[in-house]
Amino acid sequence: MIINLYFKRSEKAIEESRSKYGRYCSVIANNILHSSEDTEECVNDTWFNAWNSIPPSKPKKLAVFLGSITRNLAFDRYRKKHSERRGGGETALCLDELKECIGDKEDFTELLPLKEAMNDFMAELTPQAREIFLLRYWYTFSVEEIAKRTDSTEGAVKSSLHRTRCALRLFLENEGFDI
Amino acid sequence: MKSNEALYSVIGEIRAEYVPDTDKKKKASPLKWAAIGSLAAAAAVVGIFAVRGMGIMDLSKVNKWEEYRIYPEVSYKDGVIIDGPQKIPYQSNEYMAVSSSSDYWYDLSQDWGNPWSEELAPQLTKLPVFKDLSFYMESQYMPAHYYTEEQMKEMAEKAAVALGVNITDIFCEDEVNNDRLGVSFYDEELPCYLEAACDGGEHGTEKITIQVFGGGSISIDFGEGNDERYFWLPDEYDFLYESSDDSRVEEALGYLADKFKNLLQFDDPDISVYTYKSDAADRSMWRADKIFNSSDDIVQSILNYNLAYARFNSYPSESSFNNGQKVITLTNRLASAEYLGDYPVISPEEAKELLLNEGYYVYMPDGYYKSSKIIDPEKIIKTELVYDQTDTGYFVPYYNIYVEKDKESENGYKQYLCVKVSALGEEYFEAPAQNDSTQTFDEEILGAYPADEINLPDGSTVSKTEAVGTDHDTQTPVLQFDFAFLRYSMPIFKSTFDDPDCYDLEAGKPTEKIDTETEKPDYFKVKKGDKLDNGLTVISAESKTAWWDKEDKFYENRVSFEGEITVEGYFVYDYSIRFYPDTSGGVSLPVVYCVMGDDPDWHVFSDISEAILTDSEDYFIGYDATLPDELIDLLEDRDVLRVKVTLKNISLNVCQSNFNYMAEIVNFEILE
Repeated sequence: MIINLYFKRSEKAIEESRSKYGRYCSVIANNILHSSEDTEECVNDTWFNAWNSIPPSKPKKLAVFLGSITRNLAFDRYRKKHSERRGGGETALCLDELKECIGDKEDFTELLPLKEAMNDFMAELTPQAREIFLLRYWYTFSVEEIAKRTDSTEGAVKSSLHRTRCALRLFLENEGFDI
Repeated sequence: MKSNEALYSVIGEIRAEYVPDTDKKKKASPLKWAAIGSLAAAAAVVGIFAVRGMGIMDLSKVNKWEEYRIYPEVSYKDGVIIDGPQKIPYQSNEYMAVSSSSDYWYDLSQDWGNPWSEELAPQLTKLPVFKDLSFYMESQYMPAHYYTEEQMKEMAEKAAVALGVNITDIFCEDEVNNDRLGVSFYDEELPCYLEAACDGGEHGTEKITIQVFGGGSISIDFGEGNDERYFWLPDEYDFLYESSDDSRVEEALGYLADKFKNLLQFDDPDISVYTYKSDAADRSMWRADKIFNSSDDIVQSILNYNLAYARFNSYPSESSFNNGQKVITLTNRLASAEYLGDYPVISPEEAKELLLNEGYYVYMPDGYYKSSKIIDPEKIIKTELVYDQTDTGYFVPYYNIYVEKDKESENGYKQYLCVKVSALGEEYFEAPAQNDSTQTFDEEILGAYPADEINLPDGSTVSKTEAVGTDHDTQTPVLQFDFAFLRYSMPIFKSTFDDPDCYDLEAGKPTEKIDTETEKPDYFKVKKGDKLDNGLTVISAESKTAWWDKEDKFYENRVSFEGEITVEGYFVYDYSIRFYPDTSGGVSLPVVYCVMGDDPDWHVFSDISEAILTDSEDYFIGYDATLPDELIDLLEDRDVLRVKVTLKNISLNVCQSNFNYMAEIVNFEILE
């Protein structure tokens, strides 16, 4: 198992991770950044971050753990470059859509409560709705891509996303977030 | 960061199990076009139920544990350390290491589900320690007390809500009666346990009983006494030892964890299950299984695995109870514990080194042995970190070290000695105060002691009011005194130490040359500070008397000495190392009084070997820690050594018929 290589501090851990998850992480990064150079840098940084995180982390799902690192790195890079880029592909669209749920107030600081709330919200969704929501906002796939992956139509995907965003807004309001 | 950016970022940190796997080609069910209705109307309805009917909410997951959380959420990180880690008190000398008295058979290839692993050890240099606030130091027989009746009632009510049943009656027990003593132990504020009778709800049984115990554990019984009404697992699950393997049990536990998720209240349940066998001839199988809450914080996972978990108990041995579940037990020691801080822990390698080099006294069926002498490093197969409770009520980390024994494996199972070694260094423990400075005194126990005057070995009496402490066991009250009784070892052999005519080997008893009756010296009382004729000074003396069989039994004596004494004698290494002193030279060694069991004067005669005769019934059982290595090496080559030894730090204690003499050898000379 690749995890064991990390625990043994074997450099093969990076090699194996890159081999198995390199493409997976690249898709995640590219969905956000739309730049092969930026994507490559993000993915390379992912292995460095993983090496420093495992141990003590012992992720049950290594793919998601690595993908999450890549996603965060890519989004950080996106935010830094946002002022220089106009339009900006799916990421900008995702951020716009999420405004419906929580607005776009500056200096938001309640990250931990929001994380807890999101986990609770995810638990209450049907598997279908959750999958579509996360394909959109975790993986930043386009509506078209999601429709293909779920054997559905773009219209159905859009509707599902819309209903879930409405439900999320209500949920966050009830949780006391100021929207 | 803007709020929508924060939301996007936070979505990236949700639990891994929610994130869809993009590699699998899933055939998704076609989305249903639900009636969206008016968003305004939906917004007007408070709560998530506003989206009912819109096809996106799984209403079976709507239950929110926070509304009826049974145990408070405990984060060990909220503790405050004042002036660094405090020392942990201990009572018995086994606080650093102890071995199991039963040697089980394990298949160590099984994954036991412990979140801790040796690979994690380098990262876990400190671990939390807790004080169990429900533990009673005064008596090990007092049940744990922590929660008030109101709190226990609330816990029962929440458990009932979680189970979907109604409470029909509640009973609270707040008194523990001891009929022999005629006294009760109770605390008005903290009852022993509370019992809530409930209907069976939809569990297929007529009655469910929820018991909440004073220490916080909860037991849910789906039957009634020997009533065979349980709730049954679906046919596709298998929970019996005999018919299922661990993977099948894990499946069954997964089903149960999901079915009772509102009761377990684990956000991320993890299952630990493995089997082991007893050392009995039938090699009966046992299974250890539990469900605990896994956490991204590995330390929290370790704590939950050891101290906060659920168990499903069934009765697998009865074929008629096939797959019936009778009891669910919830345990959460953390909820009634005080976090003392993070303590530095030694590594597994350091624990093994201590076991192999410094040595601990491990208990074997035939006595105590020094671990450095009996454990082969090649035989150490597995080490795991667990939490256990000290005999003073502290939850501390230990390493369980499994040492393979020289027996053939049976169906993949081998026999192992398990030695529990403290993961905390010795510097974090504090020896209990000596003698009577912290003895407890209970007026009720004193009052319950039937005799006003206690008979002493020297023929005198003492009033029970002079007792300096009290204690009790399950049968009788016990009084403690600040004195003990000694006599000097008997000069049985009047002429020579090696007189073979003094002992009849065939008959197994001394000959008429031995006069063990008239020559026996009298017992005398000693207290702290007394100086003996042989030059030793008493630095501590205590004794206990108990009321057994309608009379006093002066059954426990402990004396420690300061000073040195030089004596000749024999060291014998047959069963364990013993020292037989030769008192013919006039040096008298002290012997404590012992009333129970065989007369100590006769004990030694049963141990006399063909090569050795002793002129005293008094012998030392020398622990290896006090013997120089060269002496041990000599004894391993020769069973008997005639020596002149100088001893110091002598301590004697006897409890009933168990002798324990300790002494440290300053120097020794082999006499040929």
